[in-house]
Amino acid sequence: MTEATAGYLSIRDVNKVYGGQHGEATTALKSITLEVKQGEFLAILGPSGCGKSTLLQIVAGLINSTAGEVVLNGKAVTAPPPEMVYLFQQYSKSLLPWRTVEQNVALVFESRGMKKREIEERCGEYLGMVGLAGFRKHYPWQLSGGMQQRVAIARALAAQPRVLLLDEPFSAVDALTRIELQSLVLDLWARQGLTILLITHDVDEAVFMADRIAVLSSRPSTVEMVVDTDLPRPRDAMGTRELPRFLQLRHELVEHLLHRQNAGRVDA
Amino acid sequence: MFSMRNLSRVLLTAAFAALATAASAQTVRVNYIPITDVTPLFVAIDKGYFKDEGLTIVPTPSTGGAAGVPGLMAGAFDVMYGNVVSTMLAQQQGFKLEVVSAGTKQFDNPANTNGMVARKGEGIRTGKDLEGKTVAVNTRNGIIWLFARAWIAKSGGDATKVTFKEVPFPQMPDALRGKQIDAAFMVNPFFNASVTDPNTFEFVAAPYREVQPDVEVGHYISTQEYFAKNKETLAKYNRAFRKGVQWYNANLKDPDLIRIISGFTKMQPELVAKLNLQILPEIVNLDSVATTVKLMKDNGLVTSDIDLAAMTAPDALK
Amino acid sequence: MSIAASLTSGELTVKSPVRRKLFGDLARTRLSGAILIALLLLLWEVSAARGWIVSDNWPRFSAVLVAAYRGLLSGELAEILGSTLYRMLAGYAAGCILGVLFGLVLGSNRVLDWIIRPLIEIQRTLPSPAIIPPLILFLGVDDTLKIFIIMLAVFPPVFVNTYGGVRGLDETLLLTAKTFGLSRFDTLRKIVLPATLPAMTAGMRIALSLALIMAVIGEMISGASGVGNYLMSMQYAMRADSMYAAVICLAASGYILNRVFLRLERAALHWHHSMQAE
Repeated sequence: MTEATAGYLSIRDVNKVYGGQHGEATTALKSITLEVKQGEFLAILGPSGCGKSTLLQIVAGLINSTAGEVVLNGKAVTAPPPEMVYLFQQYSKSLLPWRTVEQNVALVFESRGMKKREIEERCGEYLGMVGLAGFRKHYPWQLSGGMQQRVAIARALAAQPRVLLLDEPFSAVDALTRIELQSLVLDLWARQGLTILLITHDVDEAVFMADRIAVLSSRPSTVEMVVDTDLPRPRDAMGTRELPRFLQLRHELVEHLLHRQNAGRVDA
Repeated sequence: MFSMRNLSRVLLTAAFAALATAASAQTVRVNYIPITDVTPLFVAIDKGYFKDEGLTIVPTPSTGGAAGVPGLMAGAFDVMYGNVVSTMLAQQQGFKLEVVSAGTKQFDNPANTNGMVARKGEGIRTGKDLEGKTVAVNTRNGIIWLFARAWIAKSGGDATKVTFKEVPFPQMPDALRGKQIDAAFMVNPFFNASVTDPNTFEFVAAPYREVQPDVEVGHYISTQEYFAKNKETLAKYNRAFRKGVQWYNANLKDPDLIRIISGFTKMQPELVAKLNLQILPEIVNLDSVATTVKLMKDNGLVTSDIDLAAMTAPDALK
Repeated sequence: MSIAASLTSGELTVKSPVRRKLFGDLARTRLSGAILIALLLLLWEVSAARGWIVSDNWPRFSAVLVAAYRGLLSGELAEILGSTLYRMLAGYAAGCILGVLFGLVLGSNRVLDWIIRPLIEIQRTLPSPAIIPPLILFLGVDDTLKIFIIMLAVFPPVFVNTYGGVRGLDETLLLTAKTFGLSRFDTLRKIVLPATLPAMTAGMRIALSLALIMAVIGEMISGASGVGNYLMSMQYAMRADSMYAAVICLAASGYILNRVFLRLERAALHWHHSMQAE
């Protein structure tokens, strides 16, 4: 349970309160503080409805926090920084249905004054990385959920981010596809030297992918604990999951979450 | 280079252009209803009487009637044909109008061109017979409505006991046949088509003639503003128009007249030939108009007096 | 399409396989619609010829066809339709542009929405014929007035649909634009416009027939051209056959316009239709 002092991406004392004034105020996030090192893969694990997405959107500069600040590379985040890209859980709503797969990726190049040929080349390159080179002319809705999320990943990478924010990106696809996509993302993370923040409620996913896991409590969310996974890389879809450390960590986390959930029930 | 010679050439051209416009720009836009009453206007156009006066006439039909006085006030046209009742109502409402020439008058003529029509065999002869029944008029508070009411009263009925229904002229025969109404005050060509179908309809009365002999039904009007600013043009207009009336009155049976009427009403020539065309007036008779205004007062259409002489162009009176 | 759909679903209740096949085949072709129209026209012809309906306003359908043939041959009907369609398209274009513009702006800007929308809501409830008399005072009775009242009729459905489209836009799309750093203009052009296009065209499709109706109503008020004026003058001239000839040509133009619209819509929104079909 180490905490870096001078992080690359700092989340400092972030609060988010909804409502107030007229209705009853709801505190979604309470004093969230996290430090993320450059090149690190941090998973934020929490029950559904705990405000994980809200936290990630604040980090992305998509919405404002009520108090606290997010600092990326020494600069406070007030608007979406160009070196940070958010990958949505609802890939089907994030892809533009009137554009082909290729055109969806091209969206990030168009405003950069690039030539058409060059855009096409670059799109091909990124679609190749996610294994969709043969689907350039398809429309997103003609593809399976997993393939659609691959398009979204390709588009996110095309923006050449340093930080990738993943909002439960694999929760809507089937189990096998999920495993495939997890490995794909880990591979891309390693190759591109990215820093990744992953939001998930899937303990297995968090343990398998992350360097560190921050566990959030339910509303109002606070950081309950931060654990190092201490698992060797590169991770293997099968092998890593069979390591004693993996099983131990998963056991601890599930136990913790279950215990809390039951405690909540008794209270209520 | 801009030399003196060029300048004078430009000036000359401009002067000629101005002269040419002055000579030809006397365009009068006339709004009309496509009924035989406005035939003299088209005779005068067809025979070139307006052209002889240096006038260009732009006729615009208005069949719906919604354009009317608002269109005149908005300057959409300069002169319009309108019935006396609408004109007086508008005048009373504060629209400043000027009667510029005579339009239609119901001379005592045995051949009717309009009148009250009922279904055959229902015994409707007088206004008394219409009590508790329904009578069709084209618009409420219009001249047809006014004279229908006046005729009912004159022939022994109580107009307040009669229901008046607004039915457009073209639908009156159907409404009568379909028993939605019991009588209708019709005008040509629908009047003629109905009374020449004796198995279905019958003629009841000629309200205009019976209520007010020689009644002036329609006039041509402009705004007082237009009248004040275009006296010369309107004098020319009147001369040409009057020639049209004279030709029309002298040639009621002329095939050429049928051609002209067919041209602007779009009626087939065979239908036009069946209509009893009536003589039209050359001048406005203020006494007759005053009688109609009194009738309007009696029926609650106008409340105060209207200075008829002040709103009638002297040219229209002589 | 909807008739065909309801007939095919009705198949399930038809027991006899022969009848099922007959009805199914008939329903699947455009022919069934044409047959219904033909039957009605035949009824028209017979009712006038046999004197079931007696009126100068009820000519035989064959007489109407003759009048239409003559009118088309002489070019009279084409000219009349042309002037109506010209005004209709001008008013339609103006109404669509304003509807889209206001829909986009008010749909995405709360302050302007609060200021302007009450005015639009009031305008929406006013029946066009009620505002014609005062409009005449400002606009006269010529093309300006007619085009304006068409525009007034076209505006509400286009506005309401565009506005609803913008309001109903999925937030994820807008956040996507944000995370990729799209400018406001690019967000409008590349995200908001295409995403609301299906809603916009739905409004425009409703407005198309309204535009044609208002074009004709406008011409009934005054003026020497167009189908509306022709309908009125033919009534007053007791030429019902010519009047119906114009009505038929108008209906045909309306039908063709609608089909052209659907074609264009399909071309522009092929992704939308195919996506829904998936």
